[in-house]
Amino acid sequence: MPYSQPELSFISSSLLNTPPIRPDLRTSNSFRPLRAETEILPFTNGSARIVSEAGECIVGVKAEVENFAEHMEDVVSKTARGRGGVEVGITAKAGSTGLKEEELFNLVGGWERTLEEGLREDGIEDRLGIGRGYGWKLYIDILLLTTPASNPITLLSLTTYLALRTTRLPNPISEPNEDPLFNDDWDQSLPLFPEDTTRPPLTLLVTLHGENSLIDPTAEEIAVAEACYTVTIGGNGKVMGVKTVETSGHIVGDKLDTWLGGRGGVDRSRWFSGIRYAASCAPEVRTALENLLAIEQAMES
Amino acid sequence: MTDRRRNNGPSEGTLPIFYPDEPATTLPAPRDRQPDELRKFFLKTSLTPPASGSSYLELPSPPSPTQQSTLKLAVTVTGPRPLPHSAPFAPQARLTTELKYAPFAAQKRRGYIRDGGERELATMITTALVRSIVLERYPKSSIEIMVTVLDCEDGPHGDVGVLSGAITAGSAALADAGVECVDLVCGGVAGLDGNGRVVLDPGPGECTAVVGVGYLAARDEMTVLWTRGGMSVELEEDQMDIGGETEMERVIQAACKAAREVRKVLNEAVAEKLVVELEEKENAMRE
Repeated sequence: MPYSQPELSFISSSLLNTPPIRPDLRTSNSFRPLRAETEILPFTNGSARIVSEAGECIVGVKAEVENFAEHMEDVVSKTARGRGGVEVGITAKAGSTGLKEEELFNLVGGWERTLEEGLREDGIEDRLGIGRGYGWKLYIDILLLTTPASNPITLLSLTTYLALRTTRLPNPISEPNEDPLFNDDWDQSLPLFPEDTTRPPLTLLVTLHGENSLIDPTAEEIAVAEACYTVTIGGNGKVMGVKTVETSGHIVGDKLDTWLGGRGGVDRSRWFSGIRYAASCAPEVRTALENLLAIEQAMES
Repeated sequence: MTDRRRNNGPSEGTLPIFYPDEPATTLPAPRDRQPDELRKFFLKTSLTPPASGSSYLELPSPPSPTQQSTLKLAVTVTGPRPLPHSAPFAPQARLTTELKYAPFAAQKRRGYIRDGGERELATMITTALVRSIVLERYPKSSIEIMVTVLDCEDGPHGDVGVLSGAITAGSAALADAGVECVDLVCGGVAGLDGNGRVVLDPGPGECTAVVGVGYLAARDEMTVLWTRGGMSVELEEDQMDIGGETEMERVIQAACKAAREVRKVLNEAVAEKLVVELEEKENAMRE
């Protein structure tokens, strides 16, 4: 349902305060409460699930051995160790959610491509190499189980982060110049992101309201945002991608009513402050997720 | 039935495997322009007669086949026209954008069904242009923008180039259709080359990171931002003296600078039609 003009005006004016008064009284950098668990899917190499007010999301990471040398273009750019590949797919559960493919696309856009690019730039493909042109092909499947209450990119990104951090690959026992052979023992498997490597990229959705930037915005906050964009922060702290997202507040159905039509853009300094704000929040989010993983591991052992 | 009597080779040919000592790198074509020099481009409005507004944007053909800098875009605007009867009441105009690559636009053939990348670009073009249109002027109406990409460059910077070109051409077509706007939107592209140098309007394979913006030059505001590739957002010591800007901010500033240059061409293209109309009126008055 579209919001009425008085609703939009009320939300907008309360968000323009310093500090902003959000409809659910969060501070500008706090997330909606969420529950997370990892390693829930036994047939995957790594998996995670997050339930929050924004929706429910499951991510499974599966790895398959593939011979990348078969493709001529890959041979040229290959070293003896070989490389792997990454492929990300997002689906919404059909039926009960009623979220059509088109609607999911309007929300998530090409985020999966941003994630792939971010992982590649961190050099994940080199680490996925096994030898003799063989490499792991990593399939990251993201499943949205509920109709999201707002743009679900932040939710998807957090879940993907946890799933990638719990991903383990079988330990190769063959030499790099032999055909690949692996250790059967799952306890001997190697983590995809060992402690000394950079962490997977994180994507945060940011909205701008006057001088305020908000993290993890709700649908009504997005509806009144002067600008709404995703900021993808790589493991090395660099910003991998910024992408403007449509700011209509509708989740399902007609998306073309724009409250801010004809009101011009946003000046550069505020775009910059939003990007800086997201980049400064990322380490904190990462620490929180790492703590969560540590608790899960402690409970297992 | 498979032929079992003869000793046949594999049905699909295989290629011998080579392992080069070090990864072969394809060197990008050296830049033959100054870092802040844009490629010249052609922009003209009212080339599609049945549409209420249209424009055509083209980068001139590359000087040599190795330099594949190319972009050809045709944009048509239909409307403002009444919404269909089945549509619910809308107090403002509705803007829809469709973007389609011609099957022969890039090296790899594109299908006829729009793919994710095309819809992603269309959404960003809508966001860039909708902020400039005074939608309240056109209640219960729809404005449709159709972008056809006839020729473009491959790779990430090619997509950003298409976005920037489509924003410029789209704004020209909207002005041609007489749609009321607060300002013209122009697209600008800048990038960061391998040596950490900021370049405007990068050519193929020139940059490791690219930024595309939709920019309202008269108001100094940005309507859309798209960056690809890693850029630092931390203030480094040696950058303190350049006005305390981070790497990413410098590239975004450069993209806005490129957009300001593009604006000069856009102004000319939009004014051209008005000048012709004025002259016609004057001639009619004299007669």
